[in-house]
Amino acid sequence: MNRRCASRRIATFVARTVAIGALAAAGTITYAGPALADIGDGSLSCNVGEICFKKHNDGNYLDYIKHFWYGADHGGYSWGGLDGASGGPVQFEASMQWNRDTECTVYMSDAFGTTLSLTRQSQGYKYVGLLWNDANFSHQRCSPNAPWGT
Amino acid sequence: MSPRRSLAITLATIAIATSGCQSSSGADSTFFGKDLTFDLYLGDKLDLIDYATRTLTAECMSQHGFPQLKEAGTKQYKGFAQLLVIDRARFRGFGSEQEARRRGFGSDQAEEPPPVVSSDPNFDAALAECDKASDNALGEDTRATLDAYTDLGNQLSGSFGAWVRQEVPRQMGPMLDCLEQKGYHVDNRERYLREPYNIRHFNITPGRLAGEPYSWKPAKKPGTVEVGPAKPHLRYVPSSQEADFAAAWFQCDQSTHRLDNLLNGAHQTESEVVAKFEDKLAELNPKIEAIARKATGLVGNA
Repeated sequence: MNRRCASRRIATFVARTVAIGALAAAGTITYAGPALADIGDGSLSCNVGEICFKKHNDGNYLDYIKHFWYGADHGGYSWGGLDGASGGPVQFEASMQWNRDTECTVYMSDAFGTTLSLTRQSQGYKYVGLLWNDANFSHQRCSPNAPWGT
Repeated sequence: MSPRRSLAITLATIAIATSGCQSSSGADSTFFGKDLTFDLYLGDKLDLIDYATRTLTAECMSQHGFPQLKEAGTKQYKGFAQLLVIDRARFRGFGSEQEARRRGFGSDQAEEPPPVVSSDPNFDAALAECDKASDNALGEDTRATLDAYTDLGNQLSGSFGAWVRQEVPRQMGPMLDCLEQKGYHVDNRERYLREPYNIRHFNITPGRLAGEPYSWKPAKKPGTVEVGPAKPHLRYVPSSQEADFAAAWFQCDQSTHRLDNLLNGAHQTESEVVAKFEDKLAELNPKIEAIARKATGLVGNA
């Protein structure tokens, strides 16, 4: 990335952070779409107890993220983060995950019912792996009971 | 002689003694003295160990003044034990037309424990300490062994899954023709084959869960630890349109042999995949058995 592009990204980040802070202070933050799995508090951090996904395989940018605290079929969810819900669908588009679930192992499935376990991690986001890049369909807490099809 | 060298010689001796054996099921057998199936992956032991570490962690957290995990409860789940199951449900096959109508293409909502979400750095620091202490209580290098074994499970699942992703769409060709003859049409086959159990591609309205959707959301106030409600088990009820479609799917499975072909191919692939990783299984299984014995000694079975 050239210096000019980097500066623009930093400026955008600062502008958005200030905007989010201002909205939060005014108590007016709202989220579009299926807001249940949104970032919740306007914070970009993946809290202990959450199951977090990131769109891009890049440790630096938090522009498209999604946090859950329950198992879900990813259909119908859009990426949150700095761009709100404008990052497109989560399903088939997750590249990184961070499992901070406090009570059980999390399982991620593709649309064919093949499942991988996501054990607890203490060290931040991890690339989901070649098979799962752009192939996530759902995740489940505690057992791989994939929500088939629908 | 080092234990590792001793193990290697023992395994090699047994391997020579049993090489080329063919079991009644047709699967090759190896130094394990068993068929090369996913049963060689000790998922049930991993579930037990997972339960033990979380029970120890919950107790440790409670002693540090954070009772939330203990109050939320720990349970031994059938998680890793189900990771590599091959059955007809794996390929969305039904045992009868009646079963097809009853189950449809959705799935029950599985029960989940109460989520515990922390916005308290003190809780997070204590949890990191307790996680480490729980691992150490089960023996030196426990975490490294568990990470290696869960990674092995993912490699087995991933390798098998690669075959599934190739073979399921291939077997859907005749199936789609059969369904077309019964009046069920897919507009975009390529898109459909990315998610072959999503009935919306046939313009079928899916059913619903018999109950309210889960809606709890943490407030994430700094310095707090929140415990949400458990997610209840909810039954999936197919729509009438979906039930009719599932019956047609079952009939087409019968005439095209899609399900039989997939199950036969799956067991052959299972054998090949396990053969590829049998050295790793031979190396790690005794370590997992030893950790599981220690886990039972510390917390018992759930």
